[in-house]
Amino acid sequence: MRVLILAAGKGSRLRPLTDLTPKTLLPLGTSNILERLLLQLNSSFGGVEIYVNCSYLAESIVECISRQTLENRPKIIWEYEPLGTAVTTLQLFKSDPSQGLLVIHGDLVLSNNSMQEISKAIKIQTESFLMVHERPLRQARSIVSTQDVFVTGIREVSTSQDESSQDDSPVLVNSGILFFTPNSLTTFESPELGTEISPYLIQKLSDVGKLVFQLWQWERVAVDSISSYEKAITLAAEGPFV
Amino acid sequence: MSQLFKFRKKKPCLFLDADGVLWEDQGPGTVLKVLEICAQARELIKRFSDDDKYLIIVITNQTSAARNLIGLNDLQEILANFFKRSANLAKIDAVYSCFHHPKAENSDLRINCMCRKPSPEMILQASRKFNIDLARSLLIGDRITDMQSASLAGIGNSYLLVNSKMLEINVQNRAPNNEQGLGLSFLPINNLSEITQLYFGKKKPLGQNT
Repeated sequence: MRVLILAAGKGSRLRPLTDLTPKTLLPLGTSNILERLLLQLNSSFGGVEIYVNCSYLAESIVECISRQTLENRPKIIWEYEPLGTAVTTLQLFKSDPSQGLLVIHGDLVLSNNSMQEISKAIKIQTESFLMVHERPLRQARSIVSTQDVFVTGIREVSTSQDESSQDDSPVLVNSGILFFTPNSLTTFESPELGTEISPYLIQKLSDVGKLVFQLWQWERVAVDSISSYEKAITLAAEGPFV
Repeated sequence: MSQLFKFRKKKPCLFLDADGVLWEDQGPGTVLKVLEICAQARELIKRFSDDDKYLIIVITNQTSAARNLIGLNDLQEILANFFKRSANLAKIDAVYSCFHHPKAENSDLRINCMCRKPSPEMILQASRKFNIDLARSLLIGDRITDMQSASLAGIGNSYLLVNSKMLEINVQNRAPNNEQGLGLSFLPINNLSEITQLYFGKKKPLGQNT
């Protein structure tokens, strides 16, 4: 299995924090989001091969990664302009389709035991899977539709509307963690540059009934706003890393 | 009478940039000031040379003549003598140099050539001449343009030597995604002894095409 951490975004919603720091390097105590993810991955998956894609302020990410110990150091996928998460994922997958690929958004802060749970899910699942969690509709951005255990579709919605006027009923949303089983994407053609994972890889796998969902039941924070960053700092500070 | 065809087995190669890898990059005209290949580079070359599985080839852009710091013939002579002098300390199989620059002050060298990195041309020329297995080869450079050259040539493993000065230069000289629209994949390293550790250490990190 290999891991891809998606870290090429500009983090525009977190400005001015991200004016000089890529989102994945935002500090969490004495560490940062990326370093925490790397520590959790190496601890749960025993020195798995990790790739980090980067574009915006990529040099900072390269420098951070160069400080990791050699045996745990991830490879960089350097993108002058972001290729699009579907393009990056598919090209990495196809470089060795015999291996599964775990894709994680580089702005995620996860609770200490959650990576071990992801590891368990990978061991028992025979299909590619998408982690999902419940969220009120008014706060949802990436809504996942399901039937039985299968993902049937995914749609991105705008959050620009007045939140108070929207429905508060729970929906399932994309948790930003996705696993592709070996050979599952072999027949996929490379999409246009700029194509993102959701409308392409997730939707296409859903269309052929090859994507199941796993319900995320642990703490996680996607750092996509100042308030979520504050929550992430709190989560990261809870107890020592195990 | 049967005809016997001998197929020369392909060999992997250690490709090395010069300025910033074999010696400290001191800016334009570095090669005119450098006295010797640095100790870490000599040690690395010796390890690969002793292993006898790898060719060792230097791939370098050298623009001192293009900048009119020195004549082209003199520059070529300096480079040739330098590597000849270094041969007993660092066995290098070949040196490929591009002396052109698209904005050269020297009009004879002001060419949008095929050989200047990030073009893979010098690597591919070496590959054809020495029958190199590029997929099992490695390239060490200190600029993103080195990584791009390696990626376009199909080299299996690329390593970017990272230091704060080079990071600053890389910001200014970002290479676009290669023509296939692919990102460049490489492992950042802090010094050349990490390469020795990767390829000859007891515990090798996963995923290295060695």
